[in-house]
Amino acid sequence: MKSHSLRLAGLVAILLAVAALAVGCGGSGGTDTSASSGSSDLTTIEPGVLTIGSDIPYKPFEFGQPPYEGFDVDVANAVAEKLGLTTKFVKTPFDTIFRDVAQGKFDMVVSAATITPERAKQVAFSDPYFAADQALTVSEGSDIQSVDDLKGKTIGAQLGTTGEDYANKSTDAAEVRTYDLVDDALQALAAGQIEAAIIDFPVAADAQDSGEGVLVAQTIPTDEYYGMAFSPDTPELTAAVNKALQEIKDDGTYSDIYNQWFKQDPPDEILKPGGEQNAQK
Amino acid sequence: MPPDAPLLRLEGVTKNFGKLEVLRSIDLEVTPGEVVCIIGPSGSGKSTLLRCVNQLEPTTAGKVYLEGEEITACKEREADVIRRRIGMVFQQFNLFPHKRARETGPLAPETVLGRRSAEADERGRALLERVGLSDKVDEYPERLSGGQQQRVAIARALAMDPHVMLFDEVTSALDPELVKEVLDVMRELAAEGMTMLVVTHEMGFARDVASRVVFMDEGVIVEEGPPAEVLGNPREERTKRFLGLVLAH
Amino acid sequence: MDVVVKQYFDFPFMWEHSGVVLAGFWITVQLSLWAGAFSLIWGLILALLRSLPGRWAKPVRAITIAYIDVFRGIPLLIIILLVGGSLAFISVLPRWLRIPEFFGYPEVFWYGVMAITITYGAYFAEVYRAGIDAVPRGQIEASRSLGMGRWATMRFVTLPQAIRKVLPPFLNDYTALMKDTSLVSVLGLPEAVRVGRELQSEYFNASGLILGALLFLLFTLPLARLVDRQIKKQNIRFQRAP
Repeated sequence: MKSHSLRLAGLVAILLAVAALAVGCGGSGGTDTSASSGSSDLTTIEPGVLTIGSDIPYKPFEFGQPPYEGFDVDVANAVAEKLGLTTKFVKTPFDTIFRDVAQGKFDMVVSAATITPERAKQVAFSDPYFAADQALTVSEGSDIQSVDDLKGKTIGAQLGTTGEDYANKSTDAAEVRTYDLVDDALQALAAGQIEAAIIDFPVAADAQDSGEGVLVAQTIPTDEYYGMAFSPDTPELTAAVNKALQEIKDDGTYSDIYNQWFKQDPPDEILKPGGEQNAQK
Repeated sequence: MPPDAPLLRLEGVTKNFGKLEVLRSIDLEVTPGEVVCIIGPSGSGKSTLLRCVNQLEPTTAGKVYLEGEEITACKEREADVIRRRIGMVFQQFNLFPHKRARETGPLAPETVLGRRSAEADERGRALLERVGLSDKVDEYPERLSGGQQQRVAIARALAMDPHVMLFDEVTSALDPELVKEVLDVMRELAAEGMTMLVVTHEMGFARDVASRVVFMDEGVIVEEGPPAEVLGNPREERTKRFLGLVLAH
Repeated sequence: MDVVVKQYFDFPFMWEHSGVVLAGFWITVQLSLWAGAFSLIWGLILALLRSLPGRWAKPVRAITIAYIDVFRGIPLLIIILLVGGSLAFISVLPRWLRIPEFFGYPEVFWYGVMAITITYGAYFAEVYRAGIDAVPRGQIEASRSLGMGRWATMRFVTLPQAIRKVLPPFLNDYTALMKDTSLVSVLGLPEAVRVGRELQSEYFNASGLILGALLFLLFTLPLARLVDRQIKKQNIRFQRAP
């Protein structure tokens, strides 16, 4: 846990560094040729390392074995590089991830986390770095075609997600079962314990492509944006990450990563400078 | 069966526990109504002999006949049936702690003989009265004295209407003042004509009640005969020595 | 500290959501009752199989011992995950067995019952065994010499005494079983712990879990006192026996 004076010193250092950079570089864009100099003064839990909490696995965003792979992993690594830091991903359950980062267990959370007003009361979010929808996922051969078909049925979602929220508040399902891991929900779906699952679209699409016997019956446009989450007590880190995020969006790094994982260009709204789409939906 | 054919016959009964020879080719006959008292030093095999009679211990060799039927060679289920005719009372009472006195007697008759509860209960009470415990019918064993428990045990054995009763040092674990009440019950049983095989240290009882006394030592029958002879005027040296030791105090 | 109180001991929050937590705990109770009953029966069967006499029964005894060792040695959570994840797919079984929905409970409820029974049956079998072994041999001899066979002896003499003797360990294991029902939450069953966590994820307040814990204590504390009383009663009784 950081002490107040240390935090204050860090904040002052950052502000000075940012001011120096702003003066030094001038103009918009602020692209740099190498890892930025002043930002390695950022106070992180472990010096020189960005400790990142993430609910792994969550294909295709974060999965595999350490040092892990996925869209989130690549984006986080790119951001950290701009900040002159290395990354350390820490596996953590999703339903307590916001509390954990708010209490300082991690420097930040990069875990396909949707920006919501409720969560924003607990944590500070970065600018959006991904646009997502929910997907109504069913097993092959199901006759469910839309959320209207869910009346009276038993469905599932991952605990603590916006999918769970949607399932509870916006469907007529008789029962919503929650699972610790998204894969548990998919497995329950395949086992016939639930008739549908409401999960993030990219995850559902990945499951569909992997031949797990599930498919996306309907894309539920929820206009969600993923953000990286921080403790409200580390605004300098949030600001630094936002800056780095914008840098990789501007210099094409982000597009490359996006194309690698989703085989298409990222939507313009994501590439726009931060602040304009901090979702309040 | 002819009137004086033996109720019980042991033929060459031998019992080894591993290498230890506890019984060496015992031959013994008990006729109906006889009271045979078996005396001898500890380790002589007296208790083992009794336990071989009702097959609690299987014999290593030799045969046991009950009323002409050989019980040594039969399967377990048949042995259970035969045991109904043999009652046994133990040194440590072995009463069922979860059964009241009036429930103890009817247990086996109900479950084994299929007697109806009313009938079995009636019989149980009658037997408890016979052994002098009508005022203790509702008690659990833990609230009875040793002598009372042993009398309940006798009543329990009698409930199955056995043809012969085995008594395995039934007063040895009792406080001296409680011994008499148990021996009195046994005397009455003998007087009523029950065939009894009694392992005991109570020489007074043997002298008064036994039709025959058998002295055993180191797994063999050393001497047997009427109590006056064996106890009063033993032939064998070993018998004399044992009695000298026992009767001295 | 203030944060901790508000996060975990928010009593207005508990009151507001007591309905849903109680509903979850009711499922916990039902799961404990069903699983407990089946475990007691299955444990007795295992204990009896384990003590079958005779040479021909040796394979039966060996398999039973192996079963008991194995299922006392594997975490219940693994069994729950295995049953929950695989039972539905064992095609040789009829559907009503693969996806059981007796009495209107969801199939994950019955998977929980099955998994708990499989595991706790093994624990109870050992408790029964200890009780059976503790019955004095003299009792058995007296019973057999009355002409009661092995089974009658077991039923009327050994088991009644054995069970009375091992009531404390039984109650202890049953308390453990009741707490372990919370593991079935991993299958999505809306029992007390799952409900508490759902409240936490929606409202960022863990007081629902504390309420669940209090409800558990309502059962486990009296059970613990009952165990103590039983032990005291038995000590008195056995001190007076000859």
